[in-house]
Amino acid sequence: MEARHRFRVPGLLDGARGAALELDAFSEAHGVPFEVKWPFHVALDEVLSNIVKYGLAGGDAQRQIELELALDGGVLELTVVDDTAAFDPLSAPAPDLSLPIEERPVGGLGITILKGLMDSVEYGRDGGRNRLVLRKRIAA
Amino acid sequence: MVITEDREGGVTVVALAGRVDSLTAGELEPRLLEYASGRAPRLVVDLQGVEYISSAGLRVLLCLVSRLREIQGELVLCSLTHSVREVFELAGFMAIFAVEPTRPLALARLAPR
Repeated sequence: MEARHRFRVPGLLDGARGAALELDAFSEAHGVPFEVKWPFHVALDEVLSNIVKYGLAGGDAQRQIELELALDGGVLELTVVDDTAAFDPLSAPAPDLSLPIEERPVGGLGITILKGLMDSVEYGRDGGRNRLVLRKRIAA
Repeated sequence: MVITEDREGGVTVVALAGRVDSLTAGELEPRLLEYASGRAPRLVVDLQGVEYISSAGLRVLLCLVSRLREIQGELVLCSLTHSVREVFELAGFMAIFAVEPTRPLALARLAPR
């Protein structure tokens, strides 16, 4: 069964609220189980807060972030497109998890978690926009 | 997100319920840091009701444990749900925190020796 839903949120920290509601509604409508839904909630939180904090310097109500949820062939896919400066989360250095907390830099943790939760994460840049596609298979 | 507090002997037990993410971390941090006061406070944070936690939530817990250690306080987390545990493992946080499967075990861990 295929389903596709596009929506936008404002470039503010609070935009994550609307995105979470869309994910809940989409999951409910298409029977996405909790064990697949919650990783996408975490992924949304990580991706959107990074875009707002770093791409939009804390937030810009005039800017929009475009999202799409798609269910196809038992795979749930989330696409996030923004028009901020080029930022490839996959190229950011991984945090050193062996360091004691006091010595660990705080950044990068969200991306490590994201990569661990998803089956695949793809980044592309085109037409002045960042495009991130996250996929996770729904177990039969 | 709902925060509830209990006292069990000399230990404060704070239970969180709901989603711990960038939207709720802002209100959670000052509330939790209130418990990092006094002399050598002993704190259990019960995560049984937490649906999921993101890095914003992890940062709040990290801040809490650092603050507590500065004042010779102790923190034990308990009742991690599957989703919380998975994020903790990915972030390497299982090595940083004292974690128990249940509240009674967490309290036992903080009992006076």
